[in-house]
Amino acid sequence: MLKEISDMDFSKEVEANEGIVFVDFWAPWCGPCLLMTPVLERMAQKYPGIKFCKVNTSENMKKAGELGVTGIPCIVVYKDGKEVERLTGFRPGPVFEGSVKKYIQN
Amino acid sequence: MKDLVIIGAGPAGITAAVYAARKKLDFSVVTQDIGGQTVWSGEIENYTGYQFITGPDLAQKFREHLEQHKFDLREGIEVTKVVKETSNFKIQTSKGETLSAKTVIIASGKKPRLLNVPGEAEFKNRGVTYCATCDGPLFAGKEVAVIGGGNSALDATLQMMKIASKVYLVNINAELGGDAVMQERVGASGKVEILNQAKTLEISGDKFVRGMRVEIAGKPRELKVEGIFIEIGLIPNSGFIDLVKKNKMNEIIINCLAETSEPGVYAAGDVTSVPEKQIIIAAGDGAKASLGAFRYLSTH
Repeated sequence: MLKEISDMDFSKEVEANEGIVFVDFWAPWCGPCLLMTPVLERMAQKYPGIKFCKVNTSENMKKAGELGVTGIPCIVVYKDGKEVERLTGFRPGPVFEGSVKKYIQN
Repeated sequence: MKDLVIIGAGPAGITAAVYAARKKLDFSVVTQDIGGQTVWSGEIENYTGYQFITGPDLAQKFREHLEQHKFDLREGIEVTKVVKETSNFKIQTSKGETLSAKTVIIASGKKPRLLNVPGEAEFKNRGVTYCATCDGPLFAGKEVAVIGGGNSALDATLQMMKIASKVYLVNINAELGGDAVMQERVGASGKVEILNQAKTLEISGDKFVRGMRVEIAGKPRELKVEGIFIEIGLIPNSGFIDLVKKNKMNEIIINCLAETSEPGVYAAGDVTSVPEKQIIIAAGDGAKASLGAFRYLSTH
């Protein structure tokens, strides 16, 4: 499941999480962000062992600002609460799945 | 050996693919993404059949139409070279694969022109961006620069005027070149400082952009900015093919049948010499290109 989270629950949902979390920083005015949503939804269904979250930066600027997110879509990958990778820009399904599979194999 | 390889899946490539599928051609589509520049468009009111639709929604419709047909789709891949071998074509990709085809349709569109200054690549997505529509709001309350002097730069400035605390419009020419109405609105804003004859020399910062150095009529000046929007136009994605004639802007020259100078190679959309860069024109030329390829295959 692709879960919408806010600045308020970011710490609990992401930083306190053990395991892999993909966090998508997006905005409603951003075309490529809207095209990433179905890709993320498919990955969330296909890989239930990985957590997928979304942060709407038009309503939640705090965490995006702290992380220096200045280009969206920006997917920040966390492992055991720490950032390990950052993917900026739209990624088609097969390409994005490659990035996800990397964490399953590891 | 395929009948056809289509390079690109924006409006031109997708339409070419739909036509090729309906003609039962054996074909591949090699593309970075589906939708092309349409994805970046905000509101579209001139694509016949839709009185109003957003760019992402139209790109999604294109994808759904494409997915109705079975063919070899290679997404997230770039074409690096197209060469001719006897009477066929070899298409090399960024994955190291080589496809062979009797015909090729080039629908690879355009990409943002780079400034080519130190710091531009290093700070991409760390303060340097080519899309004010997407990234503008992330710079709320900050001082930013928009580099360019045409309509794209003016549009970006008008957007950023509402969001940033200050906007420097850095234009290399003696005067701005965009629409007069946009120039007036930009000029009337107390938040915008227009710098004409301003050449960008370097972009700098630490973890993120902190400033840029420009030269204005020969005099150096430092601008303390946290965002830099590079809006200096688009260039055609035509560098991977030397077989076809191009105009001085490196756009592929086509005739009214979407034929290039090389028999068996067709082109459609913004990568071509057709001056009007419109979604519906790209789609129409994509159809022409596919029908042309079909005719060629029928007689060769």
